[in-house]
Amino acid sequence: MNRDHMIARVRSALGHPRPDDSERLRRVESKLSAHRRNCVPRRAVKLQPELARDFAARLTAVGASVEHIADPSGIPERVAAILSEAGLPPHVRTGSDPFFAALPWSRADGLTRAAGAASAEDRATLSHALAGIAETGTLVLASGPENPVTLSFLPELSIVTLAQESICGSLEDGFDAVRHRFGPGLMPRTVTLVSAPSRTGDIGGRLVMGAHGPRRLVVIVVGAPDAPGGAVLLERSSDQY
Amino acid sequence: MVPSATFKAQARAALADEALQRALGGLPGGLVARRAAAVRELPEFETLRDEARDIRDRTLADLDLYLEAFTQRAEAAGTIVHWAGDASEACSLILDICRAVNAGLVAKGKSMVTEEIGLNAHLEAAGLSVVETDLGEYLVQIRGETPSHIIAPAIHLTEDDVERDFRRVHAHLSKDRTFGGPADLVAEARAVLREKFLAADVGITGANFLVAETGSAILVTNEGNGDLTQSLPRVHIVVASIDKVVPTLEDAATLLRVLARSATGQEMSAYTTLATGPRRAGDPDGPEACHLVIVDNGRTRLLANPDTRAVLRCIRCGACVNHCPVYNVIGGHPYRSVYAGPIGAALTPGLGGVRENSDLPKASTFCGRCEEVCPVRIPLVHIMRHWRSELAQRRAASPGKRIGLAIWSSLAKRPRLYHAVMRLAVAALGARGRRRGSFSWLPFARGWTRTRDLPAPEGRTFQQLWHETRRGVPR
Repeated sequence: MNRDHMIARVRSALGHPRPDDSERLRRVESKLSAHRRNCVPRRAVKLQPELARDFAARLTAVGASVEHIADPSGIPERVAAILSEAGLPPHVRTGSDPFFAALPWSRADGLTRAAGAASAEDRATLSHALAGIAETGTLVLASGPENPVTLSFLPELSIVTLAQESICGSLEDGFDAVRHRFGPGLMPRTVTLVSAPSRTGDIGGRLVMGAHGPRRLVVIVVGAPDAPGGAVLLERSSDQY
Repeated sequence: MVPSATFKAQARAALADEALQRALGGLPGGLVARRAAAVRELPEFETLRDEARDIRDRTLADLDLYLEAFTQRAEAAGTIVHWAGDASEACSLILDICRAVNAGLVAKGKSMVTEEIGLNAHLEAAGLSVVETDLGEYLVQIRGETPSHIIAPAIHLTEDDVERDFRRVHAHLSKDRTFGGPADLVAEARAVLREKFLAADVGITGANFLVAETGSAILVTNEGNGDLTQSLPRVHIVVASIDKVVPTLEDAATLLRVLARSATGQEMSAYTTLATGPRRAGDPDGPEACHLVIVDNGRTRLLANPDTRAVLRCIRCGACVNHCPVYNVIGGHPYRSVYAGPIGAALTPGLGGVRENSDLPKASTFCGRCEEVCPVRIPLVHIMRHWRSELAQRRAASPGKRIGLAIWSSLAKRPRLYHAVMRLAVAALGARGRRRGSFSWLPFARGWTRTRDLPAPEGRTFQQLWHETRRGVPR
C-alpha cells in the first residue's frame, strides 16, 4: 500500500471525499506553525533560584544525585571524585565536545578521558545537557558529535553537566530550547529527556535500578546558585552553552 | 466464533491458580495508589485530561492531513516511510527491510502494535532471531507466552518463576550461581541482553507518539532498552499505528504529562526520546538507516464509526487495566487478546472482528472505573456496549438469551404492562419467600443463586410503596 492509498482510506473514513480541503489544510498548517501552549502547570512557572531547587529536588527524589559547582574548571576534579566514590576506575568517556576539551583535566590526578561514542567497555560517561526542566527534574540532551547518544545509555554511571542558567520551568520551555538551538521543525537525530536513572519493576513489581541503562545518574549543575535562568535561555546565542 | 465458555473456563482457572493470584496480589492495586498520589501532586490534572482528549479528537478529525504533514517532515529528515494496510502487509514489509540488509539478529523494544501484527512469529518463521529487550517482554518471550498487561507484560510472574526460567534459558551460566533477589535477576538479564544489543543488525521499536511538526517518533521507557535498540544496530525500524500522530511538541508535552502519571504514577518516565531520521553527518553513533512502518490494521474502520472513533484516543497507559475489578482477579491471559482489560474489550473487537472477540465486551461489570481514570476520557463502557449491541444484532447471542432480551425489551417499552407484571411477580416471590426470607434457587437465576442467596422481596414493588406513602396510607 502506498501513501496516497492510505491517505485516501483515512479520508474516506473521515467522510472527506472531496480533494479540496483548503480550509482544513489552513487549519492544520497554522496549528503546526503556531506552537500554541496548552495548560502549563503552575509549578513550572517560577524564577531562579527556585527553578534550580525544584529541578534538583525532583531528580533526587527518583534516585539521581545533583551537585553544584560554581565554575566549570572544577568539573574534572568532581568527576574524579564521583568515580572514586562509585568504586569505578578513573576513566571517563565524553563526546568530542570543545567545552569538555577546554577543561583543565590535568588537575584531576590519574583521571583519563576518551572522546567519541561510548563502547560496551565504558563504565562511566560525561555528557552535557542542553537544558534542564524544573517541572519534572528532566535533562534535555541533544545527540551529535559533541554528545553521542550512546553516552547516556551504555555505561553504569552517567554524569551530566548542565549550566545553571539552562534550567527552565516547563517541558514546553525545554522544547523551545531545542527549537532555539536547531531551528523550528528541525531536530538532531535524537533529543533525549532523562528524568531518572534506568529502572525496571518487571520482576515481582519491585523497583530495581540499572535495567539496561545507567544504574547511577549524577548531575553537576555549573554556575552560581543565584544565577538568572529560564527566560534568559532564549536570548543566548546558539554556540554558547 | 470462539465459544464464550473458553473465556469463562480460563477465568475460572486463573482464579484457582495460586501462583497467579500471588503474583497479581496488590500489584495492579499498587499502581492505582501510585497514580492517585501523582494526581494529587498536580492540581491541573483534570484540565490536562480535558486538553489531552481534545488534542486526540482534533488530530483524529484531520488525521489524513496530519499524516501527510508528518510524513513530509519525517522524509525530509531521512526516514523511509512505508504504509501497511493490515498485519500481514506490515510483517512482510518489515521482513523485506531485514532481508535487504542480511539481518540475522533483531533486537526489539517493547511495542504493542508488533504484538498485534504477530511480527516475531513472522520473522522467526523466515529464519531470523528476534530478542525482546524490555525485561518484561523478554520474560514473556522466553516462556513462550503473550504479555498479560499493556505496560507490565510479566505482571503475572513471581520472582521464583523468573529465577526458574533464567536457570533454564541461560544454560551457559554457572549452575551454582545464587540469586539474592530481583536485583541479581535484573543484573543477569542486563548482561545477557547487552550482548544482543551489540550484536543485533536491526533494532525494532514502537512509538508512543509521532510528532507532525518535526517528523519525530517519541519513545517512552524506564529501562533504556528502547534507546539502545534504536541507537546501536545499523538499521532502525519504527512500527506505529496511524493513530499515533500528534500535531506539535506542545501537544506532546500535554500528553506526556498525563501518560506517565496514569501509567505508573511517575511524573515522567526515566527516558523520553524523540528520534528523527538516521545518523547525521558527523554523528559518531546511531543507525545508518531509519524506516517507519505506519499500520492501519482495522483502525480506519474504528475511525469511520462515530460510536468507536474515541477508542483511537488511547495512549496505552494501562490505567483502565489497573483499575478494572475483573482484570484484577483474573489477570490478562483469559482475555486471549494482545490488549487485555477494558481497553482490549473496546479496541480488539474493532481490530480483529466482534464475533471473533465476542467475550471481551462481555467481560466487564460496566462499573465505569476505567472511564473515571482514562487520561483521554475514552467512553469505554459506551464502546463495550456498542459491541454488545452489535453482537445482539448479528444474532451472535444464544437463542435463550435472545428470547429473554426480546421479552424484556417488549415489557420495558410498555410501562403499564411492565408495572402489572412486576406487581404480580413481586407479590408471588414475596409470598413464596416469606418464610425463609431468601431464595437459594430460582428458575432463570442460576447465575445469581449458585454463589449466593437472593433476598426475597417484601411483597410490593417500589412504585406501589411510593404511591402509598405519598397518599399517606398507613402501612
